[in-house]
Formats: sequence, structure tokens, C-alpha cells
Amino acid sequence: MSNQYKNSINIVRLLKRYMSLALILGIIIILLFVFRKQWMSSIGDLFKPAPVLIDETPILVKEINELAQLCTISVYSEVVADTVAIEKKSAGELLLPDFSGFSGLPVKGRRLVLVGRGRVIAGTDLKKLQSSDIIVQGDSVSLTIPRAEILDAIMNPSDFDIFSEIGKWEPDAVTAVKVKARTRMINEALEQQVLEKADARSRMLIENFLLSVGFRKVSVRIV
Amino acid sequence: MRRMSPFFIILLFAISCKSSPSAGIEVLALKEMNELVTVEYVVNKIIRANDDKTWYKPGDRKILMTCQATLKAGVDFSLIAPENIVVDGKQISLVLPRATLFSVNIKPEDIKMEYEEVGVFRSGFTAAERDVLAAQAQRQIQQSVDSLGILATAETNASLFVSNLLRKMGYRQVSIRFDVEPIQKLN
Repeated sequence: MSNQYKNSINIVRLLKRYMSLALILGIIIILLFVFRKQWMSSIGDLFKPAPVLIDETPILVKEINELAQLCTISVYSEVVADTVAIEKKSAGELLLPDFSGFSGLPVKGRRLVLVGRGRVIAGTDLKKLQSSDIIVQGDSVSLTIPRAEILDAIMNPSDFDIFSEIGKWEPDAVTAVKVKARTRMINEALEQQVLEKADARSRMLIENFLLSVGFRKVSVRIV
Repeated sequence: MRRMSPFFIILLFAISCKSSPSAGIEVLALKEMNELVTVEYVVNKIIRANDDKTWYKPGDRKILMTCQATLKAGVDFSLIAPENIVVDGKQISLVLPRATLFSVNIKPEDIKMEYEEVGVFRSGFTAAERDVLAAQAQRQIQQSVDSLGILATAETNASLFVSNLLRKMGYRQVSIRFDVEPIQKLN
């Protein structure tokens, strides 16, 4: 009877010890959950690489060009461009594990995938206007303007996201992919009839301008 | 230990749970404009950086690149109100909006890598890292607009172009002035 009593006391003690341990763990978990943002960010900050900042260097003006470009339409776009280079594996490389997605094959590969955002600006180059393109008779004016063209295709360094970069890529190869992305953006804009839309808008804007400066009859031709 | 495992699972869950940032949806579209670009500045800049500030990375690495940017500025004609144009016979008076910077364009082919020095324990700059550095140069160029004097040149050119056009259209006296308030704008 006394042995049974002792056993039950031991069990109660053991349970109490586990209960207190569980309580402490529970408090720790609650604290971690509540303060996880602060703690995790401070630990993360400690191992975060310091940002690489460029030096303040002078800006040299190379050219100044006088323009008269009437920008009438801009098309915002996002495109993907990629490139893959496949080479034969050397005897040594065949024995090593390959994690590049070419495992088990006698070739190795490098891959570069990037996303580029940018805008294509279309409009009319009014610098091409000749004196003979303007005919005025009393309150009538006739103007002949050149066809719309792509005036700018802007895809800056801050507009690119490198989605995947496997292997070492030389700067020239990366530039080639970026140029491919920009060309694709221009082609997409052309497919959206950006030039036709720019022509129509240039005509409308010039007509409105001529009416606002006092002409009653206005004719704008595009050649 | 078997009894403890649910606690560890909860602990791991508590640590690994990260609040995801709300993703903004960008709308890409076609935009109508009415901008007269009157000047283009082509500028050169050296991009120089030294990566030696991270305490746990032994050795350093340096990079030297050059870039060429094209800045375009002009006048936004959509801001001209009917009351900004006064016609009196062969005399015309126009109030144009102040010139603004329309674009900064750094073409990928205009960024050249000139030199790279990488320590034994470091790896070279990746394409993404080079882009980050070039983006900083882009910002520095954008911030230098005032010191370059591009807006003043854009206003002079806009005034010349519009007055020449109006003279060709028969106006004998053309008066052009600019609005008082400058507008800061860059798409």
C-alpha cells in the first residue's frame, strides 16, 4: 500500500516537473511569436551584406542637341528575354555532381533570364518641317507633317530584374539579352499600331493648336 | 523527446512565419501625351564602387564602369490653357508651361565594364549587382538636372521653335513667356 502511495507521489512530481517545463516553453513560444519581427530582423541585419554604393563622380556633358519632337503616345510594357549556353562537360566535370539542371547529361549549361520593363515613345519629329510645308491663306492654314516614328525606347538599368542567372555571364552577353528585351518591347508596341495612333494624335493636337492660335480653317496632312 | 516535438514544430513555425508584403499591381498601358521635347543632353559618367564594407566577407572587390545617358526635356503642351493664348490681329502672345525633364535613358549597350578587381575569397559582380550599381548612377544623373542647366536650354529652344513656327504662319509679332510655377515631372 505504501509502495503504491510512493509511486503515485512520484508520478505527480514528474507531471508537475513536465507541466512547469511545458509552461516555460509555452511562454518562450508566445514571446518568440510576439517579438519575432524585431528579433529576426536584428539577427538578419547582422548577416545582411552592406550595400555597395557608388562614388559621387562628375557628370560630363558630351553633346547638346536641339530637338522638336512632339511625343504623342507612350506604350508601357514588360517583356522577358533569355539566353542559354550549352558546353561539353570535361572528364573531371562528368564525375562531379551537377545541380544546374543538366545532371546525368554529358553537357553543362548556363542560363540567363531577365525581365525588363520600359516604355516606347512615339510621335512626330517636327524638326523635319520645311517652310514649304506651311501654306497660309488668310485665316486658312495647311500643314504637311512627317509620319510618326519611334522617338525613344526607354529600358533603364533600374527597369531590369534578373530572374535567373546560372553560370558566369560576361557583361557583353548580358547586354545582348537586354538589347533583345528592348527590341521585343519595340516590336510589341509596333504590333499595337503605336505609329498609326501617334499619327492620328499628332494630327489632332496640331489642328487644335492651329485653331487656338486664331486660324478658322485648318488642314494637316501626313506624308 | 517525443512529447516535446510538437513544441519544436510550433517554435519553428513561429520563427519562420514572415508577414508577406502586400503586392501592388502595376498597370501597364498606353498613354496619350502632348509633350514637345526641345533638347537632348548626352552625358557620360564613371561608375566606381568598392565592396569592402561587409564584415564577414574576407577581401574586397572593386568595379569600374562607364555609362552614357540621354536626357530629354521640353514643354508639356497639355498644360496650355485657352487663356494662355491671346491673338490680336497679326500679334500673338503665348504663356508656355515651365520646361520639365521628360526622360533619362541609359541604353544597355551604353554601359561598359572597364575594370574589375576581385579578391581571392570573393566572386565577381553578377549581372544583377552591376544593374544595381548602374541604377544608382541613373539616380545621380537624374538628380543633377538643375546643375546641368537642361531645363533653361529646353525653355530657350521651345520659345525659339514656337515663335519661328508662328512667324512662318504669318504672325508679325510673337511674344512668348513662361509660366511662373515650375513643374517637377518625370515619367
